[in-house]
Amino acid sequence: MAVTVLVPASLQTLTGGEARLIAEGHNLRAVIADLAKRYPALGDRLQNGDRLGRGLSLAINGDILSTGLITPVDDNAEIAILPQISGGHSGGGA
Amino acid sequence: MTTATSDYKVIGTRPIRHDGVDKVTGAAQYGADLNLPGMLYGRVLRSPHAHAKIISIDTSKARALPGVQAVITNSDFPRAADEEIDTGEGSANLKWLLDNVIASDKALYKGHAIAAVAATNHHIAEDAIELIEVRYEVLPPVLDVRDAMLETAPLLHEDLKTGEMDGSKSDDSSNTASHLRFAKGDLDAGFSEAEVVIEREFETSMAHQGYIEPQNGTAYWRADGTLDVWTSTQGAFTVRDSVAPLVRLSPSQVKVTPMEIGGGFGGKIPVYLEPLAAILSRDTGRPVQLTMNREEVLLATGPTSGTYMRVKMGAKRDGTLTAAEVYLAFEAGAYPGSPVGAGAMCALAPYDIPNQAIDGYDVVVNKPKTAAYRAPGAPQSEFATEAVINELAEQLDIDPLELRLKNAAEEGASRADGYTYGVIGNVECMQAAQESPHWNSELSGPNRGRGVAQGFWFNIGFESSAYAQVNGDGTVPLVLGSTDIGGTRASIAMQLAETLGISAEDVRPHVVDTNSVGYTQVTGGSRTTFAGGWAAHECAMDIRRQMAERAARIWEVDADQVEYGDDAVIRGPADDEGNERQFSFKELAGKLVSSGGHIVGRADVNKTSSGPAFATHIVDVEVDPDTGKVDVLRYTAIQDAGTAIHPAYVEGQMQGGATQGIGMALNEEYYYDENGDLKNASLLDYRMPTALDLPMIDPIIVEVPNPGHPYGVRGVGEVPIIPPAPALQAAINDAIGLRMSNLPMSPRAILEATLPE
Repeated sequence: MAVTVLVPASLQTLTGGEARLIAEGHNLRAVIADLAKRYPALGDRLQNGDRLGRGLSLAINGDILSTGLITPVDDNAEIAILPQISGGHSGGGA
Repeated sequence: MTTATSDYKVIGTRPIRHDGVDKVTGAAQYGADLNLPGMLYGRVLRSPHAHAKIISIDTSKARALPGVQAVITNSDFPRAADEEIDTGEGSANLKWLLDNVIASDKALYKGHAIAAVAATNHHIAEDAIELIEVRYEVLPPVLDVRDAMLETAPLLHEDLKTGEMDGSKSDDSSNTASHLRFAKGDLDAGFSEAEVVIEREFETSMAHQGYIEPQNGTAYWRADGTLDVWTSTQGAFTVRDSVAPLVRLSPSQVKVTPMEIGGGFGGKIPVYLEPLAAILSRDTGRPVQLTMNREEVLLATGPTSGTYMRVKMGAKRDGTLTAAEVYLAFEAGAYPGSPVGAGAMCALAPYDIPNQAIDGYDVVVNKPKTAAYRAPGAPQSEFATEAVINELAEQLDIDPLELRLKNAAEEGASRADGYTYGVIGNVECMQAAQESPHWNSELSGPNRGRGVAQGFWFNIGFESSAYAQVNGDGTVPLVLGSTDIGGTRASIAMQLAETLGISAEDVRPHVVDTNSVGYTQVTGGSRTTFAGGWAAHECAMDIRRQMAERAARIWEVDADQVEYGDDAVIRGPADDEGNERQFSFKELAGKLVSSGGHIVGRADVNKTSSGPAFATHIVDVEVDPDTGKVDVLRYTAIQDAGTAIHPAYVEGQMQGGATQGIGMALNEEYYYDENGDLKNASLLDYRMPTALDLPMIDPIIVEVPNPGHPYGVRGVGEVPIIPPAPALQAAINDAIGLRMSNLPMSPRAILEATLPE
């Protein structure tokens, strides 16, 4: 099951400058594991235990991730790596 | 204007809000109205310095004052680890969260909480904080974002390194907490292709949400170790999940009751007083209430960021935008976490520009920690980009709406951050503006001008819950976890009513505490009518299914032979005599007790889809060249609401958002002296627009239904604050030939720009 992963400019340091990656996997965890085989640093950045890496979010075919790494992905899905939109309270003061 | 058609019975109507009578009669209970038996009253001692080491705090004299029951400092809290916690809408560093609630080793802005007192009345508490002796080592403050980014700047946090999105960190400490970059295409090639290139710098000031009700928090640490909190908040679960780790309780030991809320606009998401009230209550065994006065609200709660921004944009002579480069430096206040990420993602969002790069920097300064404020980050970044779009239009001699239409993002367009749009109403808003009476009217007279601008905000979904019970008389109490700031009791209840086929008045919505409803994220992100309405729809579908099953049981037929119609009539197969079998909703409701008991529907949703929203605003102004004062003569706000559930509340959001945007554009600013002393910490000096300052804001609702929602809803609350500043900047330029680059465009700023040296 192949998906396309769009890598933002800030993370292309971890992919040798590649902006679009093809990966295999039936859910996000499997996709990240597949990416980690070729891009270990990207895999480390994308996954923090059983969660997505800190400060990151994902959009799968335009839908923002909300159900964690077990979220299934369809064949030919497009996954965009995004920063988490926190509205200005990721630091102190909630 | 409406681009959608529907045969909805409830949606699109304008019923009286369910909470209206309580609010207009004064019966509604706000946080400061709470009066518990034995309750103590708290006050907070705040730093007089913008940047200082705390050498010592002596509370002995305060403790000795008769009537004082407890005095606390940061050291009375459990040690907060340097770790991230979930706060419902993002995350927070626990140590920074606690240090912002009450300072540990340093005071990082004037008004930073240093100690707190609980006493038997306000006056004693006030006297007691005067008796607390604090020794400071005063340090030089850094107040401007560009100054703070210098290598020579005083450091707020000795251990803060600049984090990159790839996880790497700088070697040296810095006030720049993080950097992010989005890019697509080939920027150099794009600018080479351009025939006109404009590059401009912009600055904006910190501005406050200006909610009417100050922060408050009441806590009661019970003998069994559980904690009750009553507060004015946009997210009861967020308060629970912020307070619990700070006081080392499990979330299940903390119950948060959201009181009625007098405005928030993003500023009522962080916790300030609640953790202090909790520890004071733990130490006294009595309920403790703290409230802020207006000065404290302005000094010590979270405004939106001041910024420095640069925008470079290139276009062909025919108006095709070829490249854009955006630099954003946002003040985070005393701790990292400005909305620069959202600002970066929004900056160029209305346009399909093939080559672009956006850099964003999150920078700490000696000002209060910023909080969310209506479309956080977007009013700043889109002010800069929209101003350049308008200037390009002028240089290219192209109508500014035509230039926007030529480059408008449509379905399938991608932003630089990688997000690809589905069905959006960007073009429809621009077209509605072109067709509006305002755009087609004549404007004449000296020093008068017209401006237009576009705005974008994401809107989000995520977790919401709705539980509802069918009463015997056919009324339906609806239990919600979303605090109601802008009429969401009504907008959610109307979606439940629409799905059930009953009237909005027969639904009775109630906002309840964190133990009484499923997890619900904050009222923010323009998500509440979207996700709350979705939960209500699914809750209603659950009721429909159960009602049909109950009718089947009464008629002794199979459930699949019974249908719940959209007209709220439950129909079954004809009886043996051929008579039609049906119940109205109320008829069946009256038979529930005798046929097996009441029916409760529930839904807990976690929606991943969103409802991107666009807006186009048009403004006419007259500038007084002698005073620099800008009078708004006429204002039209056009916005895609997806589906307007309650059009009056959609219009209210559009008018309120435009008004706040006008305030940020023309008057509102945090005015600090060189020592970091806020000189306008009152609503007399922090000048927000009133009804006397503005004409009617004419709303035009566009409806391009969101296919990612059962009723086509998009959020409506945030996007209308974005276009006012760039529209006003263009109007002022049209009026007097002055292109302002800083916000606010106050009389003083305009005079400084126009008068000779």
